[in-house]
Amino acid sequence: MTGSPKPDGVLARADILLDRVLYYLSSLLLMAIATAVMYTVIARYVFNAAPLWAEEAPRVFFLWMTYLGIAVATRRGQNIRVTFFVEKMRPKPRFILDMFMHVCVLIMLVSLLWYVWPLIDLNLKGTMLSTGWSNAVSWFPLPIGAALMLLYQIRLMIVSYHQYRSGNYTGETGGLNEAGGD
Amino acid sequence: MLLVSMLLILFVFSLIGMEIGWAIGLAAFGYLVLSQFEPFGTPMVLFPQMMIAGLDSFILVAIPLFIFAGELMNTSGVTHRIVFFASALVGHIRGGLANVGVVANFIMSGISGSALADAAATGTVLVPAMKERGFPTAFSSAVIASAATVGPIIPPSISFVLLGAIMEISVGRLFMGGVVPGFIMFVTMFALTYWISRRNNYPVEKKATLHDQRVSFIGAFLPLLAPAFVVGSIVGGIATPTEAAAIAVFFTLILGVVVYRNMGWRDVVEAAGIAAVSSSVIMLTVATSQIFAFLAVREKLGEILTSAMLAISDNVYVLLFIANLLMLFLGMFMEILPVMLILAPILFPLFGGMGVSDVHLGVVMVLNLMIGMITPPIGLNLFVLSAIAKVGVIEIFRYAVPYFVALLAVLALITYVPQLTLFLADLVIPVR
Repeated sequence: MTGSPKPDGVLARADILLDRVLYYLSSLLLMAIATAVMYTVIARYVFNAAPLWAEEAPRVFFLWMTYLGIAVATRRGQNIRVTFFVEKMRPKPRFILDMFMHVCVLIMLVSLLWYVWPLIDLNLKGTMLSTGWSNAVSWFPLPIGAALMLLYQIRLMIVSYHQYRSGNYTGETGGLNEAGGD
Repeated sequence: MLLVSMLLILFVFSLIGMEIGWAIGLAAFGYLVLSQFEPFGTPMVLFPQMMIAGLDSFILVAIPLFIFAGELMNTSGVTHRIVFFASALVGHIRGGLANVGVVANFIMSGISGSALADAAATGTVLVPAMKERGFPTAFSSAVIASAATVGPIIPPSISFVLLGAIMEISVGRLFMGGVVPGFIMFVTMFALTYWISRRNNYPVEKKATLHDQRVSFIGAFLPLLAPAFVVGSIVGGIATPTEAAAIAVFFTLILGVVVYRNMGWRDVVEAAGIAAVSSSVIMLTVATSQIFAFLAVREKLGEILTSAMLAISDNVYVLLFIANLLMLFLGMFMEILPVMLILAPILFPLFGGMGVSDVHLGVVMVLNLMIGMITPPIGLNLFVLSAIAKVGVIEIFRYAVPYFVALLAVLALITYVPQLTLFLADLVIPVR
């Protein structure tokens, strides 16, 4: 991965460990979703009794998987972006532009973190019908995901700054550029 | 004013390289911040509220599952089996491996539901092989990029699942609606490839023996059953689209782990991780697009667009033509998911009121956006093939122009002959 910290420092090791934990958690959640949904089909046709949690649990897992997955994608530079025009820019203006965009995303993430708390507070009081889980379980992925993305945006800015200072700034943060979507 | 600012932020930031999901989110966020300076500002809490509510849907769960099934198919070597089968089937016809690319993508479209995934999978196998046979690399890339556009039209389709979830349209009917248009796309591109190959005297493969044909068919037989399982279970009312996607996951899991025995549990975990992360990226775009669309509708973008279109004509055929132009134009400059998610809440009520079927409009919309995937500057299929073949995007597009024109002709046909879309949908899943 371009510009990643050397893996010998404590911070760098923690960075890699966190990335792996989040990646495998997302993987585990997707496998849990597949198993839960498949179990529902089997239970309905074989045991003639679909479980009550059939829809609720996969939806909650899906929200957790999504927000942890977005954090991993941010860390690995796998988000969908159009680099067709900026690729033609010189390193300095491109670096300034990239930094400006990182700051915009940072402000947006901080705002997300700030305004999500009243919603969590509101949902702490209620429970889901079939699982009996707190409604807040569906809302927690957002602040946790946003906090992780915040961390990774800052990391990205530090890596970009070091790349720029050492004279090899390409704007690449590792991973895909114009990929993703459908 | 707020609406103009929102649209401006979106276009500027997506074109200067901000992640698409965040560019859309920033546009909506900018709207919310600016609205605080007005007498009745929109509550900021709407932003986090819709980031969760916009994704809290059981049908959306189908998307990571379909992507997971596609990843498992790739890991278990299904792409090679399908290419081998397609080669035995049509490799001897003028155009050889180029025809194989069109047929392989048609078959893959019934398994994966994603144009990008199909383009990457078949491109990786076929582009180097075509280069060896003497095809111009840019032509090989153009054929694969264009042929992969059939992916989201033939069921299963991630785009149709999304459209169904957002606009509350029957996903089963959308799936059925895509079958005939997808087949027309396939036949058109196959015929075009044959014609181009004849004109340029492109090479052919040796005709496969009956034994080779049998071996390749047996090798591809089980993967060929996957679409029947997926679509059949939805159409037959056995499973919801999400459940059908889970069935697809377990079907491919059994293929890789039990039947072909070329996939271990480590591969399964890795495939799930890749699918989870790539679908999360899509979901970020889905969540922020929904906030954007909500604010755009609130700011009466739909009414503005509708009046502008009605000022030109009130004839439904002319309006469909204008809508096609708009979608093609936006598809050239934006990633297709946000275009679909933002335009759908505006265009569906307009055309619904004029008697255009939601399934017909859905297929026309997705086809439009698929054409956008082979047009520069932001044609994602061109980028994927450019990365695989190490050829410039514009060079690939030069060879893709005939396919672009052919797909426009198919689009016109599908737009103005709705029966082509609705016939099978009405036959298999009649409107209740």
